[in-house]
Amino acid sequence: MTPPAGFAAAELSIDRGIPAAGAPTAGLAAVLADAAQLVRPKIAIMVLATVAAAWWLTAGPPADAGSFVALLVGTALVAASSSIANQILERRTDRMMPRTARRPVAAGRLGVATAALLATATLGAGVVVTMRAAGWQPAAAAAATWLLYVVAYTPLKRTTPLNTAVGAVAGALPVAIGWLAADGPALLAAGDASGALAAAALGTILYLWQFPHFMAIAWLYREQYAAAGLAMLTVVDPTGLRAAGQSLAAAIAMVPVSLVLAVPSGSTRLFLVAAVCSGAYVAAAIRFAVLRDRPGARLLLFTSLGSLLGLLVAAMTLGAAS
Amino acid sequence: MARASFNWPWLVAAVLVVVTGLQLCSGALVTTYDAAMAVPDWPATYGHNMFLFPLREWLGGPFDLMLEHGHRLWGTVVGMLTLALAAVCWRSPTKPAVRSLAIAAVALVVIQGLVGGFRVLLDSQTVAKVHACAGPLFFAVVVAIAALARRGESVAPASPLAVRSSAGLVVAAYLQLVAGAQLRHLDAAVDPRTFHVLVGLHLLGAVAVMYLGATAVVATRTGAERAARLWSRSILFLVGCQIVLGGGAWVAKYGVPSALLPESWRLSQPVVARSGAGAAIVTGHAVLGMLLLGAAVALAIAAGAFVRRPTAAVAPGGVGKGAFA
Repeated sequence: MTPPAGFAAAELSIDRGIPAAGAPTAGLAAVLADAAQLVRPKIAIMVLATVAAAWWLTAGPPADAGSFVALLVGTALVAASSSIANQILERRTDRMMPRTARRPVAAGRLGVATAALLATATLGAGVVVTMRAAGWQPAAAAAATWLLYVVAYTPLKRTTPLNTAVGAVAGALPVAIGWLAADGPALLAAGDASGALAAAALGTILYLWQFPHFMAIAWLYREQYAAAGLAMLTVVDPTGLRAAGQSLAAAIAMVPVSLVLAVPSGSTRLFLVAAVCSGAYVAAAIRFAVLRDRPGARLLLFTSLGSLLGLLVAAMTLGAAS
Repeated sequence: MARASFNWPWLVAAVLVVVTGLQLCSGALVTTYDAAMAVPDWPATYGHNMFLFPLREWLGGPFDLMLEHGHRLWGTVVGMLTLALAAVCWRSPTKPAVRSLAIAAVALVVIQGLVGGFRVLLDSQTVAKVHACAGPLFFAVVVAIAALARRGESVAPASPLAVRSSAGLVVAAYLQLVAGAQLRHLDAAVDPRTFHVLVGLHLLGAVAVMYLGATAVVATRTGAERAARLWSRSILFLVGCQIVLGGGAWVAKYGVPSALLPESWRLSQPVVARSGAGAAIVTGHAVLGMLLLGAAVALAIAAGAFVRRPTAAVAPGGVGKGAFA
């Protein structure tokens, strides 16, 4: 459910304010801190924003707010489950990286069996809530995203740098949840292709968007990834040339796709915003490609977040279906 | 002594620059003559396989059909050459940037082909705008490949001002094309305020391009490579031509602003963009904008915008080896 490559910027701040492993922390605050590390709420929020944007572009603001909120709750539960499952599977490598060593499962504060129970319960609840809110198709898409992330992407991180290309699919699939939940197939069958076009553009944007975003993170933490034995591109190629190349190619390809977002509504303002957001992303990718240093990677990371946020907000406000 | 292998990536990229330039011209003509819907189906042409459409009907048919079908056929040439370029770059010991850009070019040409098709299927002006913006982007990428593939390893970056102004010029020139595309594919029912904003943005962009072009000329006067000096001066010349053509395009499309003329001088029919001279001016303005973008990319590369500066090479956190371009 959770986009593996995408949205990981939220992880950058995850260490802040979290006590070190084994440090004495008291009561509720410690439980909440562990829960936050376990389910990574910032990532979940980004996933929900994607689902909401796909819905908005397909059918406009939801008529039934209750079902819409239930869909988001279900999706959030599946996202939380995927995060927990990921932390179970990666607990050994997580221990080797300072960035992740303090996660509850890796640090041993939460047993594997308990975590597995939590992952199963949240997955089951998430799929059921999604199904009741929006039908079996969005629920199936959510389950497929979970599988792709947990069963395919997570193990691939240890074996091949192609893991990003696989993980990015999982990162883009929440768009399908939103589109299916907003009755996208029925609209398409009735001859209204605008929602499908916008959703396809949004999904492609999210797929491409993750390459520069994740390569920036992989560059910032390349030593930790190498120490943990993860086959990230920045580990396989320590010069960063391949990571920079993938970032640049994906950012450039994202430009015309982001402009397509404006097609269904015909909004000139959305068109211009999309051009500026995607253009800024290309500029940051070029800078990273040339410098391949920490400031360049950080700039690319923050530009990625800003450009995606700008695109999502603009798409929902200026390009929503009427 | 081992003989240096021939620079195939450069040759193929250079040919592709020319071929793409012609495709941009034909695309601009299609827009000027509003010929995009002259062939209402896609990927077929009036039910025929695109490549088997009778020559007599193509060349002997209406002018707009000839333009649109020719644009499609030439587009396939661009696509095939782009694939060839990617293959050559993949097999040749070339720079990482060239390979990455070649991959981007393949992605762009596929997207551009699909967008062109959907422009017809949906008969949408907004899709036409996307098509008009993706074309110059593809051209810029191909120019970058050609320039990077040709450039020697010994290029030293020019002054920071030259690098910044040339990089800024690329951004400004592209945004100008985006704004220009909005004006070229204007919806007939456009809100006048939106039209005024777009015109204002386009004029503001023109000022930015002029300023950055002039700055690049000054910044590359000393310490830059000869190619950078030549490109910056050429750009300034092109900008001058573009301003004249821009004024001409306005007159051809909308007439001389009425308030500036006595009543007897006012044109009764200001929209003359599809007359021979009008079409040349309007199309020329669009094409020159794209050429300006290509020239700005070439200038940025010649000025060393893609080269790690010596001070940055030892910056903390930097790897300090393996130039990208």
